[in-house]
Amino acid sequence: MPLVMPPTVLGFYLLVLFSPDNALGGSWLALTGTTLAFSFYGLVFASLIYSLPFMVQPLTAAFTQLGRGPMEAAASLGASPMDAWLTTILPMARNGYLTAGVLTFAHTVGEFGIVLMVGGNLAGETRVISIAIYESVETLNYQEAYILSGGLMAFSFVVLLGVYQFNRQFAMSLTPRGMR
Amino acid sequence: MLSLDIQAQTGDLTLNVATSIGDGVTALFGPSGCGKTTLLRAIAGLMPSEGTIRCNNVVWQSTGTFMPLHQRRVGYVFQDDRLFPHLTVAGNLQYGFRRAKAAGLSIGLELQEVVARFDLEPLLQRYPNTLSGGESRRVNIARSLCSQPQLLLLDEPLTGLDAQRKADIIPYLATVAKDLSIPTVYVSHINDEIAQLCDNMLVMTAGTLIDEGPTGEVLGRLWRASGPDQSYGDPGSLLEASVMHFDEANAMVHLNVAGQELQVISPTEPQTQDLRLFLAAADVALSLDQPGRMSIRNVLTGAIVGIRQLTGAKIGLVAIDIDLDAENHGQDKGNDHKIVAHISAAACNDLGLARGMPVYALIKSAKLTTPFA
Repeated sequence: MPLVMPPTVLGFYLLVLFSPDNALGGSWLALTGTTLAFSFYGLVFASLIYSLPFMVQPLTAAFTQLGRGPMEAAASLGASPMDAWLTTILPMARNGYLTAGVLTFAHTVGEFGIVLMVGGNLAGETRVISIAIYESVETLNYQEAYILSGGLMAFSFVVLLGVYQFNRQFAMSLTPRGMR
Repeated sequence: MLSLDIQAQTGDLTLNVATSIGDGVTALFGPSGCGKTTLLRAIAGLMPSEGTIRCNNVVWQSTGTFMPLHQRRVGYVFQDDRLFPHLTVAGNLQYGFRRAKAAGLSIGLELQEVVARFDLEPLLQRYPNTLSGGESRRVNIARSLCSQPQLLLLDEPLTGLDAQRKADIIPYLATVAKDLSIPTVYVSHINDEIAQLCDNMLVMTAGTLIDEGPTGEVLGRLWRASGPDQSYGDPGSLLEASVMHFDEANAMVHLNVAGQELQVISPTEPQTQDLRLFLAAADVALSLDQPGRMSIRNVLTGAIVGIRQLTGAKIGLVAIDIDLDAENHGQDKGNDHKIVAHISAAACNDLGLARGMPVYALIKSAKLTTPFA
């Protein structure tokens, strides 16, 4: 569901949910003494809900790619299904977790709508880079916008490069020598 | 002893097999797509089937009961390489060994023994992706043994290996199979491999068994299974031979078969004293007179013990059974030193061949290779 929902809409509902009048926002206020809305923790929570679905796809791909083979081999060696999963599929899919984690993180860094809705734009508290860029442009401070945008672009490039490099190495390590 | 009586349906294939498989190596032979792998998967419990499977008096499966693979104790060497890439060779071997030990199961195979037998000591710390094809096949087979199996299923374990690598593995397999008294099913469609390794043979077509029995006998009547659409390879005979000496300069090994000499090409010196050879029936020619100067180096003497007209795919041919034991002229005394020759019916008539006649069997050395070629 969060995969297809517009971020602003999701942000709005989360904002309502985070309000101290609601069960979730209320209990958070009672526990920590601060509101969930317009706080850093609120941002983390909202980003988590928004971004987690993006982890599902790379993870599913990683598991599908492994197929039934390792499970069958493990069973023939006396491993129960749970044992087999923990000792073969889990470690063999490790590139899936990393790829999924890094991509989701990069995706979250660039998120705008939901962050603005839930976090507001409090300097030093909930102002994130993408919102800072927007604000710099609004106030015609192009110098700062250039620096921030350049930084984000470099970051994205490095992340992409890292993921590709890692995936290639990993794919190589999984392929028998004769098949390369 | 493995007894099965199972039925299953997958895609176009209807599997319907009832047989029992004793200790030692049994070949499962048949054209591709006939259901060999499906049968193995059903035996392992990876493919649902109806009916009963019993191994050493333990019911693996019958109406209302089903034991999953990890409880069946089946050593399964899959057709594809299924080593765990995140574990070293040692880790792969220990995977099944530790679990068997934890469950208190043993067929008396120690890890060190398997490592020594498969010559894996230098590979132990390596990861599967650094192994050659032959090495990885060896580790696959060794790993399945480490789990102390009650039954060994080998699905074309030598497929995709060149002759040299096969030559590395076959001696291992042969000795392991001989020493372990557990039923072993060996899927293959290569006559030579079967002749060298297997004591018994099952022939399968379209999901059912059409022939079964001792390898030597079944190989000799394989032509019956072949039709216009399907070929089961060449029929032939199994020869038990012992090595006399190896002529390295000419890459020729001299063998003793029923007291007669047989010369066979072999690039390397055979590692064992006793060999089994597959001799295709079409590669044997017959002569009534002592042949003179010619390139064929093997001339065996024997007596005709049977003449059979062939039909179907082999129409126009006659199978001549020849006993190489000179003392037994005319009397069929088992399978040990009997060869079969396929010659044309016309040649058979012209020569006037009949039971009891002494003949010379001509075999080209070039047509025979040792298990190590």
